[in-house]
Amino acid sequence: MSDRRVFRWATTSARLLIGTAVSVGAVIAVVTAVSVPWPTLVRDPLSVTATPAPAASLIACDGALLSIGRDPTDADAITVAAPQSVVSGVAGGAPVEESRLLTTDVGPGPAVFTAQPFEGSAVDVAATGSATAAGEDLAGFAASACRPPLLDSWLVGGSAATGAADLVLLANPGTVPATVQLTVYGAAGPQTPPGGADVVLAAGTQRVVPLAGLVLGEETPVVRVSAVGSPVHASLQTSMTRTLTPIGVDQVGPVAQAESTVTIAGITVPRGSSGARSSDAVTVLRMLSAGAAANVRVTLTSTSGPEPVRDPVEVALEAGRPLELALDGLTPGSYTAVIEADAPVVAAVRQSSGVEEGDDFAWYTPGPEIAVPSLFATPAGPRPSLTVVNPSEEPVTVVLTEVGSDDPLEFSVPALGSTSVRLQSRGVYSFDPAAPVRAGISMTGDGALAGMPLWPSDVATPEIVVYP
Amino acid sequence: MPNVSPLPADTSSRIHALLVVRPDGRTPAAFHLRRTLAALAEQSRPVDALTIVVCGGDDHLLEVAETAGAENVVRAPSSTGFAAATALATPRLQGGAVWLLAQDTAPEPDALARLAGGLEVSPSVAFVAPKLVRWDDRSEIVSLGVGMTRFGRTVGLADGELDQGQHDGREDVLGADVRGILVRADTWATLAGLDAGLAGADEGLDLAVRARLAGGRVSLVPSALVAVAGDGVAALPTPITPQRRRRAVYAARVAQLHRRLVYAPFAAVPLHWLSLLPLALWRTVVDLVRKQPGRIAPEWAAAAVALVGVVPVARARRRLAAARTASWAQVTPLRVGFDELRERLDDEPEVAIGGHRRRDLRFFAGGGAWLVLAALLLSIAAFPALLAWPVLGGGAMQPLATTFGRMWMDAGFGLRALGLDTVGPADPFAAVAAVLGSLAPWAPSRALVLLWILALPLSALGGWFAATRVTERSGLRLLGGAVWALAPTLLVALTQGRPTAVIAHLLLPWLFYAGSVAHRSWSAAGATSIILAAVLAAAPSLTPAAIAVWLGAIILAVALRAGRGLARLIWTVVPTVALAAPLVWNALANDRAWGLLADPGVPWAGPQVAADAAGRALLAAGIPTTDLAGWTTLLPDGPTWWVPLLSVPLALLALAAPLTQRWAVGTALLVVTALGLATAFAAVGVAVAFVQSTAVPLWPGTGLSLAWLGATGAALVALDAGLAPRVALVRGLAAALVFAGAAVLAAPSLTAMSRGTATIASAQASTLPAFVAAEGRENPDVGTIVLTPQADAGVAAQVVWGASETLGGQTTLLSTRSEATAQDEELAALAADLVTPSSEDVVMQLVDRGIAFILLAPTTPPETDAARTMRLSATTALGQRDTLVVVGDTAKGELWRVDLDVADRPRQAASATVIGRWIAAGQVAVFGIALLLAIPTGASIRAARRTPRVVGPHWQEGR
Repeated sequence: MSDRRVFRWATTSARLLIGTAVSVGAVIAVVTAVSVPWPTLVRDPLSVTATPAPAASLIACDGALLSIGRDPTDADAITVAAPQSVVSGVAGGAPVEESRLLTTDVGPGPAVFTAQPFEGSAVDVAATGSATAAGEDLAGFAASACRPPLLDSWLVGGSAATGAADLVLLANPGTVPATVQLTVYGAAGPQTPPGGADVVLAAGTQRVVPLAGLVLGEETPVVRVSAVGSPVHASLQTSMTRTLTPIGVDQVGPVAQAESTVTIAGITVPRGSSGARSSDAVTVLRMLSAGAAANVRVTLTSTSGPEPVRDPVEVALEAGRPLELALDGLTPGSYTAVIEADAPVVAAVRQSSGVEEGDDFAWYTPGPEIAVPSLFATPAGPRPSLTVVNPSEEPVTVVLTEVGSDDPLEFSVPALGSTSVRLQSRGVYSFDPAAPVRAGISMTGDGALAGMPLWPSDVATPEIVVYP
Repeated sequence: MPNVSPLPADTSSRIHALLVVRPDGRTPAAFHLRRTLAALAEQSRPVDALTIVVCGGDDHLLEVAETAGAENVVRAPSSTGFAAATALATPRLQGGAVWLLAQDTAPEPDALARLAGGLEVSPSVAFVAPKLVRWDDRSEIVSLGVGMTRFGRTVGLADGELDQGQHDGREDVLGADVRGILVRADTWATLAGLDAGLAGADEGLDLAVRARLAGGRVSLVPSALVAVAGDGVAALPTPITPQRRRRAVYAARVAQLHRRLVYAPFAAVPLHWLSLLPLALWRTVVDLVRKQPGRIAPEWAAAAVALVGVVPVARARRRLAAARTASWAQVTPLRVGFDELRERLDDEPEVAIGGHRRRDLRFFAGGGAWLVLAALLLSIAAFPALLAWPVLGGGAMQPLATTFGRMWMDAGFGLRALGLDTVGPADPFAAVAAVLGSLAPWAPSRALVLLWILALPLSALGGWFAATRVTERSGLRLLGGAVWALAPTLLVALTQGRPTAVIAHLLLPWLFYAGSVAHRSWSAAGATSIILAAVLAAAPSLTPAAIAVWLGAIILAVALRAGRGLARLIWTVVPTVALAAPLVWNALANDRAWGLLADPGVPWAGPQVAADAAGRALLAAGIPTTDLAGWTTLLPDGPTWWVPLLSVPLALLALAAPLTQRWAVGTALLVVTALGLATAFAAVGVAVAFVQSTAVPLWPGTGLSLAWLGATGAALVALDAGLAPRVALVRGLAAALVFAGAAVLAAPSLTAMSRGTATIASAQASTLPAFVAAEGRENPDVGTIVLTPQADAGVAAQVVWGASETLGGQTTLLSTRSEATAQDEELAALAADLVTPSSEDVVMQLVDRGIAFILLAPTTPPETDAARTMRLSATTALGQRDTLVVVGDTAKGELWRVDLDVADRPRQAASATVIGRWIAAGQVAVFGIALLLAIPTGASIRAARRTPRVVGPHWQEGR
């Protein structure tokens, strides 16, 4: 071989060898890079947790007891049957401003309490109203708490059957108009009657919508009130006459949201009740699962003991159709109903003392969980009692202080039990539980039944995560 | 020393030789001096007296000088110039003529005799000049007569020409090189010698001009030969090192400016003096266009010296005036006219024997034009609806600002178009967007639509040109263009709507085209520098790969080319640095260095592969999305396991490239592929930007584009050099296979528009409701706070200034923040107060901030319960405020207007304006320089023709 051929052979071989090494190296590098984990670097989006400035606290009351059709020439006319006496109070001596709404076609309406933020935080304000009617068409004792307006509320109670003269009260205490949709859940399922669609509430007004005008003849209605534009305060005035005898009246407050576990505290079966004799059963539980069919389990417990007073009842709810369950044969006393469901439900208990003249009834609505110090007021009327239910497995200490006094009442609620405390009428109390509890106030007198749950204060504004 | 002719008794005919010796650095002064002294000794007409001036130097040199038999040896400091050295020896002059010599001027034996003869025959001649020839080659003329243009520029009349006696008839010239001239002693005395203010250049010309003005003449004696080495003792040094080159440029410029100030009428001197700096600036531009940036610094130094050198000018003017007897009209006929000058400039240097002669480009003949046309038709067929769309939306697309001024405002330092009060540098991409929008200033957003339609033909064009750097074969160039245009990353970016990825893909082949020859010419380096800045502005994630390639090129230049072209390679990154420096500074100062990697433009978390082995395997197959470049949508039920195999032919050919004769290029391109893949692999796992509550990972497609470039190039190398000529059929088959693979891979993306799976869509001219857009057209400082409920119950808040969010107005200052600032806290508090019924007068805060609108934008569907609750509560809270007026429920969300007199948007601090101006001036200057360098001139095109178009060594080692 000549030198030149050797050189050529050597360079070609070297080239092929090195080239192969490079290519194989490239393949190995890529395959390795695909299979081994690579470091990652992921930055979390920047977020700032901001606490909104405190808002003014605003609560609206239900107003006077109204009567429809007293004027024979104008069957739709609404008049005031009995004025409401309101007890209010604020925490910490902050200023509060009271105003009145205008009830359309009636005149001056319910009271509204506005408390501007005081010393950098929102002010807890509480008020409650009560009224006693003694008319030919309307008689009985009604008490209700004044509540902050809501975008979405449920009215569980009332009836549109013969003998009932129920009124849906819609109040807009805000500064801009609200448009309200009323969805009535009845035996036929949910429906939006023409009278309940796009009800416009001017700012600072209250409107009265007769329930019978929405769903005539519906015996177990549940009304969902959805507001757009401004939150509204909805409530239901329910009254009943048997033949020509008025057998009670009540103002039913709103239920803020459906829950899977509903606790109704303070159901009081008065003495002298004589059991179910007619369709106006003494104790009736009305339930609705709006979105889906649900199986519910109803447990009834007496305040005096931890054990259920009877075996839990299990029933199935159809979606969108309310169901009534009679809780018969209760001995006088205070009870707590717990409804556990596999879907969010709303519920309320109707308790009546009888169907004779001088009797009264009340709707007890569920109490939301209270974990923060909250203010509440007791109305004028029979001496109220506070029932505190402890759903946890540890005893909970509750400190109850009457505003203006420095003598706190401290008591313990047993685990999974409840405790009742007698309060003063026309008082304003601060309720401070050590752990989440539920509570309700009930008033029982001669021919007077009323109840209302305690709502937690919403002065602690929730923090909002902002992604700036 | 034999005396050939008797010594003239008359002192007036005695010749006194002045020899100046100055060793400069490493020049072999003693060696040159010995030859010069020997040549002097051999003169047929010996010198009558010899004075040697030794400027500096060691004892050895002095000894050589002292043993030469000189009458006088004068010692002078080493910094003494030629003019000063002759002045030192002037008092010792005796005789009728002075012969000016230096250590490196060796006269032929009969030189002095002929010079003396020339001086004797004509009494009007002030001095005679010999023909200067090269030290080692007498047939090449170094200088034979020097002329001057009307504006005083020096023109060598025969410099560098081969001596074929073509100039021997010339006698009467304006001036001559100072070396070897024989000057009458009385003239020498009258003119007071050489002018030291000339810094060593043009001394002979200046002496001649003064002699003419004193009524004398200057004559050439072409038969007298003097060999010169160009040591730089007298006249300019031969420019063989960069240092000498700089000195020569400096001296020539100093001399020219000095002469201009000296020769000008007195009244014109201040004007000339004032014009020094503007002229220096102009000369800078000219030097850049001429691709001679090395001349800039010496010329500025010369201008500075001329600016302060009032005393030498005054002295020289006095000297001129003292001797002057004739008018400037004497000089005028001898000046070099423009016709002659043009003739000299047009002389194209001969192509060196055996040098390369570049072949024609063959863009039309080779089918490149047809490829581009076909790509255009394919693009129109694939995106037919785009022709009718005024604005492109969807994906990461947004409109461009509507006015020219606004677009460029967004590209500069200052108030950003987003954020409560964000002041800072712009993303470099904003400048790219502004350039793009400036192409259609009447409707900038239309430029983006056009870019989309032209993306395929433009990438085919770019791919074709890039292929010309790899292969001379037309067929393979077509393959390169087609494969580049059908790259899955480009098509996915087009259908998803990723403008940064599309722009990067369009520019990458041009970066390869220019960058692969950047070491050769300033023109290519200038173009590379601009394209690199644009590519890295559009795809910052390519920066690590670009740095690796750049460092590799520098190492290769130092190792293989002994550093030639290093300055050009270094320049290629200067515009990028200038463009990105403000942002980098801001990022480092704010501890968000990783954020520099984030894709600029609209942050958008579009579909892409995940950071796992399956995702990286898809990336290795060239596919950036999990839907296999669209095949899973085209074949929802069919088998799609074969899709990643479509790029296997390309990969196999690329892997074969290092085995071919052009293994160097093949290996380099494989390294580029590996860098691109590594970039893509790393990019999928990096999410440094975020939009609202979503982190946005880097788009791996740009890294994949780089890998695709390397793989395509390597495959072309393998096809070009890896096959014997007799297997042309195999080459055709392999090329067809590669093309078919790319075409099948591209099919789903090309049909995505017609199948309705593309993300891009027609959009309105604004991302905000029309009401705000109308306000914003009049007033670019109208502020809108955009609140978007988030899936996790939070709310995103963004302040938009002007009529719309724009592509150029986006800023990574906001999208890559790592820590909340006081402004973020303020914005968060504002947003929280707005979405809740808080009692504080949050609207007054909006008014103070200049925000006039509140937009509650819909969440990205599907809307969660938490988002719905937040939206309803925000709607209610905003509706409760009596200082807000609801404008309406638009497709872009619910809009409220602040029903108060809104303050103006807060101005930026004056210092920020100043910083912005300085940054803009610096960037404009750098890009101006790069553009001037990039503009091709006749000379640069001629120079390029002498180099092969294909880059890289090509060993013909036979087979």
